[in-house]
Amino acid sequence: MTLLEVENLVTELGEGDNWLRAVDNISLAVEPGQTYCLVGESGSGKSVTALSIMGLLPHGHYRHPDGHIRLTDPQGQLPEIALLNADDETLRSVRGSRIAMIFQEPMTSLNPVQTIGEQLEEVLLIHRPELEEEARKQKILAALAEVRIPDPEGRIREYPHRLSGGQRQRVMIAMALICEPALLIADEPTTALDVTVQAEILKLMRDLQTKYGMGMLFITHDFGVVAQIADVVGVMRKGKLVESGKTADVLRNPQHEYTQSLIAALPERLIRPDRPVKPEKVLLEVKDVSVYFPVRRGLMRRVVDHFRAVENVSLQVNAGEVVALVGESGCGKTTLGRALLRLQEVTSGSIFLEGQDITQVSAKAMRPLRRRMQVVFQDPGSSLNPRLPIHTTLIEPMRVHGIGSSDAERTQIAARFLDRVEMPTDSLWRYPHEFSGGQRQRLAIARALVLEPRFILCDEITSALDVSVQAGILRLLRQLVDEEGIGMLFITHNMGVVDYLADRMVVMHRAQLVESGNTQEIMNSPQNEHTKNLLDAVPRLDDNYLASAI
Amino acid sequence: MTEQVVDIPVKQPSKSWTQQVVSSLLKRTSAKIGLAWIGLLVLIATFSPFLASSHPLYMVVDGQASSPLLQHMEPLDWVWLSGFFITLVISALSIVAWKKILLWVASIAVVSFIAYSSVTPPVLVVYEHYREMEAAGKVDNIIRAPIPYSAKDYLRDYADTGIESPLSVNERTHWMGTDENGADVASRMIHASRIALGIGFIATGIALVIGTIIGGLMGYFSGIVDIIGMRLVEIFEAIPTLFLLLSFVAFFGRSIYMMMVIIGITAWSGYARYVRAEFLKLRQQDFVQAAIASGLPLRSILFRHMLPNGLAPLLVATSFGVASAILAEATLSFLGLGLVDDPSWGQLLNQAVQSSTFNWWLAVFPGGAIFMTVFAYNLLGESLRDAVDPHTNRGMQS
Repeated sequence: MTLLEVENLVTELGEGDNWLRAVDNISLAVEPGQTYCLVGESGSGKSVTALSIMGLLPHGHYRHPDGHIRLTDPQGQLPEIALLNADDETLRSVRGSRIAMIFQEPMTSLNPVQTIGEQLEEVLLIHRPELEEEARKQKILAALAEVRIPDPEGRIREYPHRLSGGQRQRVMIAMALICEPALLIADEPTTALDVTVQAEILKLMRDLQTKYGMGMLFITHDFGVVAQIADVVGVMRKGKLVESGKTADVLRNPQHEYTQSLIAALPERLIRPDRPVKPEKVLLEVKDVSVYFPVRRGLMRRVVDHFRAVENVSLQVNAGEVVALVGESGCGKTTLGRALLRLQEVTSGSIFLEGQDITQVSAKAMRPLRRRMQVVFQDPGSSLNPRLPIHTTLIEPMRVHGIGSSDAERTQIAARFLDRVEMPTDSLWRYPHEFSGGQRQRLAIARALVLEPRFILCDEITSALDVSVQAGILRLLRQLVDEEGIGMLFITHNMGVVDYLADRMVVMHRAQLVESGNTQEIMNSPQNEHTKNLLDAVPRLDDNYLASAI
Repeated sequence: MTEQVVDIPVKQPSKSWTQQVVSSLLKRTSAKIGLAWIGLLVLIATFSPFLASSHPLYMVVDGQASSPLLQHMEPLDWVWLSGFFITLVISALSIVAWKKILLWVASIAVVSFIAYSSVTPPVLVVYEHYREMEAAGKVDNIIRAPIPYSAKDYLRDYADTGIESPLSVNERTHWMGTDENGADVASRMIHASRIALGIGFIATGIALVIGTIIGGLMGYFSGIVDIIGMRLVEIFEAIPTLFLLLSFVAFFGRSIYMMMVIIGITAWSGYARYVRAEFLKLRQQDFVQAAIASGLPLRSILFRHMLPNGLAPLLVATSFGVASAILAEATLSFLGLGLVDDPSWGQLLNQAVQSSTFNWWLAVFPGGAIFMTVFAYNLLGESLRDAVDPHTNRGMQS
């Protein structure tokens, strides 16, 4: 008996005469005890599908020209409900009790001014008004214990800010499951979490599903997650469901060319180019670098303690090689990267760029040196100045460093580098908001390249991008490193990316370097416990995994 | 890398952020209303000598043609007029914004210098003698302004004049009545629009410049500069503006310029807070970090990369600031501590309650004008806030 049936669903977003078809004729069915995974790149309409089912789209800004959504009760006790275009009263009675939803961002999905206990209790008060206070409390404690929150008795009196991201997501799951819904909709519930935490949450969700036999509609962009959790998978593209079927079938033997291209674009499945052999020439050497942040308290802002962000880290980057810096969030990898560029003062230790110690150089003397080391940041939304056309962004650093004799010549150079990062030259006269995330990252790479640096720091530059876009950028980076002999430190948490891109890798854990060495060696036989955890947690869709796991 | 010639395409028009904000602003009805009222006010203020004056625009006496109005134009009138046209011309030029501002300030300064050194209107102004000449039949031809009374024309030739309600006297037409001195209310209101506009713009301009500089320094350097700056802000926030204005008026007499400066130097603290907050946020943004990493000089980082991105909330605060400066002047005039002889909306409002009877026309027209102006600036500020906010913007599009 089918739990949720979506038939020919069409959702259009917009207003007035301006409508955009976000979901185009989608049919899917979720069985009880089964996980249906909707997978697709950003903008493919997966979240809109989920919101259409829940009736949570912005009021007056959507319409459904066609389609049916039916929610049935597998036990046959509760009435069948048509969810599409249902009135608010019906939807309210269904939400929370028969369908529950978990959102992506654990940091904002809990109310910061209410304790966890109050928030869980509110759900019960609304959907299970017959319960006594004592029964409610027992149920809340049981729910928190179920999602393996340590010390639930103490936690119910705490506010969300005391919990880590992973724990908040556990609380969200507890809140979703407290009324024992028949259907759980999870919209990228693990995307904002670290890989190790993601692995735990996925396991928890699987366990709970088996226990309660609920149906789950799971939305993700990550094929690794699909492989771990899905029974049935549907691949979406531009609002259409291009392929669906049993997970093992779709992943092993994708029929539609879009699914094929998506799977081929996973970094662990990219074809590796031959790397030219280079003489080892040390470009950047980091010796015992520590970065402490002072903790200030009181009226006089006295320094009472230090937060140790980076402690005694040593590493080196050779010309023409990529070194990956891997670690969980908060381990100090970004701080280390900023310290290398002197965007953050180091507390102790020294950094040598081509043999020159740059830690003691004054800010003014540093400026000409900056040409030799460049950076590309993570967030494509803020990496380019939104008020300046690309032309100005690229030309200004060249002018400051005396590259090219006139602006016309610099424009030529800029155009050449745009060509190099595979962007059309008329991008010069456009503003950042006219480009997509991947294009902006390419432009940010071009900005770093125009100064012809010896060393480039890439701080998670592909983590906000879709896999196919990421594949393009990774290929480009590898090409640049091989052809120009640039040294690159690539900060990431994605093991697939490390595998494809890096010659060597270093692993950081809690401000310290725990392991370093050749990428392949570490991947195959990690020595350190944390490295092992990190590698085990990452679902990687290489051939071995496909053959054995599913 | 091999040298190669790349064809650079011609510069294609591409909407900058400023153009986007302006076009999205102009789509909003409230912004249109606000801008329309402010535009009307600017026109009235610029052409006030031509709209309301006892001096005829053109007159032929004994076969001799003359224009008493042009002869009696004050240097300030000329500055307003030429400033208006300079603004029109400069805004049509296609150059960078900061160059426009610089050019505008420079040309206003030059025009002011020329006007004040060359224009010398007659010191003795007799408004009555045109009407006397007309009555005596000496005038062959005369063209008068739509409201043929100057702001300071107390109609002494009509002997016993004083407060008159609109259109109550047969021999003269006062659309909005007269005030306690017998001057035409409509004319006084038209001439007072300059004070309303001027005090708003100059006071807010002073506050904006001080606030941006101090706030920018606090936000960029943070640390000890920030701590000292914030204490300074707190000190200035503790000064009651109105009380300070009252004391200055008591000690140094009444001057509109003094008021502008005092309102300006007490109102900057709010702007400094805004700029500081924006700069603290922007300093951590990737593009600013990238600019530092590219070795760009501090000047460029501050003024090219940070300031334009931090201006949005400032613009909104500015439009509200203009409204409150206008209100401050009106309040002062209402309390009877404003300008002595020069017209002001607040002073007219004051007269509504001065005599034993309630003179509704002295309350309704100036009160309405103050209300409309403050309302227009608030509407504009409100729409500007929506226009620069990417979230509401996106909400309108999707």
